[in-house]
Amino acid sequence: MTVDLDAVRAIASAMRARPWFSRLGVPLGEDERALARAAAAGYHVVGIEVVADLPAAKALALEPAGAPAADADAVEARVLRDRAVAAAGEQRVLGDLSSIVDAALEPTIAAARDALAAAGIVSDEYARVLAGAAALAAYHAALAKACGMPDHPFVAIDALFARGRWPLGPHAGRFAVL
Amino acid sequence: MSAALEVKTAADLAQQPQEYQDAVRKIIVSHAINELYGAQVFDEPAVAYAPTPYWKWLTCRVAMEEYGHHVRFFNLGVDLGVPSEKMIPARDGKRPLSIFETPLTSWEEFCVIKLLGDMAEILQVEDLLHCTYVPLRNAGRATMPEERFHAKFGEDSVGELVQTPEGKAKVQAAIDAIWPTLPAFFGSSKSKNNEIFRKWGIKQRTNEEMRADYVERAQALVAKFGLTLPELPADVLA
Repeated sequence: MTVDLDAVRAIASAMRARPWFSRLGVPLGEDERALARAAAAGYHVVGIEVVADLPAAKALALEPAGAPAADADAVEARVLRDRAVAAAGEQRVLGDLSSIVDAALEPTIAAARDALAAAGIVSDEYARVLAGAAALAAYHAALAKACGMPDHPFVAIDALFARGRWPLGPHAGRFAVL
Repeated sequence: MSAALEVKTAADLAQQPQEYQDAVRKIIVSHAINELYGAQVFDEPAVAYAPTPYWKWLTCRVAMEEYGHHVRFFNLGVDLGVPSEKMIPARDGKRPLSIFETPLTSWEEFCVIKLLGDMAEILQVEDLLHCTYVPLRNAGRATMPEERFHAKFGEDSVGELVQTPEGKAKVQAAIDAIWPTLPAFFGSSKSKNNEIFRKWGIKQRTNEEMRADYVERAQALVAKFGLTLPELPADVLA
């Protein structure tokens, strides 16, 4: 297998310029619906749940029912990482993946604080939740792309973040997006 | 000697006595390694134990921040010519601190690590805030707000867990298991390194003073939740 580390580096270098969380609450465009459907397919759910606002998203994220899907994502990410490491070596792969974490640290938290402030919410904790979700999605998408899987649901989820959305994952048989 | 000393750059440090240079490198290496150990041994595995997506994403972010602290100290070390492999756990050839040798097994343990382990980290970073090597002082100042948040995360999460008798019992069990490994984080009371750190104004307090302060703060903190710290063997406090 060939590992596409250029794709990983491309995601890292795009982190700062992304309009993180800038379209929360705006009606979904057709391209966003297509991405949400692609993401939904990864969880074997159909349909899209449009989440109203940040307080509703928080309530949804606090439901324990969402944990198994997130855990399954972590397992899938580990499989992809092991595959990439086996093909390209630990140092190269983990080095480039670390660059995503480095690049995501500042812009995601700054944008999360702005989005929350715009909604009248001041919470360091909630800002970190948004920032953590965004960075994790970028990391997952980088793994999928590195492994030559551009149609992987991880890539669709990250693309929604890149458009200023917050894809929350499967919820009650549909894929939830703010 | 240290009262008037203030070294502003890596280039200026190179003009200082070798003992001071070595001490600065040593403490930077220690912070770089411990921050990364913390992220790898506790924060990353904790994501799987977090009970909801909300707490998973928050834990993810905390892991990123701990990693960011490692990078901050790592870069300071690089500026001083420290080989990178000396600042990466398991490649530095040394045994980790005892707290890093126990694998994480539950969400309650992670919350206790944040509550008590990150408080130990805060004390260590606080001691750098008046460090004579200015880049290290600045790294400490930049790190402090996030460390405080991590400790608050511990307080908030433990505060939620103790709302039920079952949760409270699990937290107390986690404290009983983890607490004995924590005071060693401050090093030996007879540490030669600490003596040199204080001689050069890199650190301000003895290991013994810091440990005593830590134990006192930890006792007050757990008492807030109706929890207790187990007795420690005398050798742990030496």
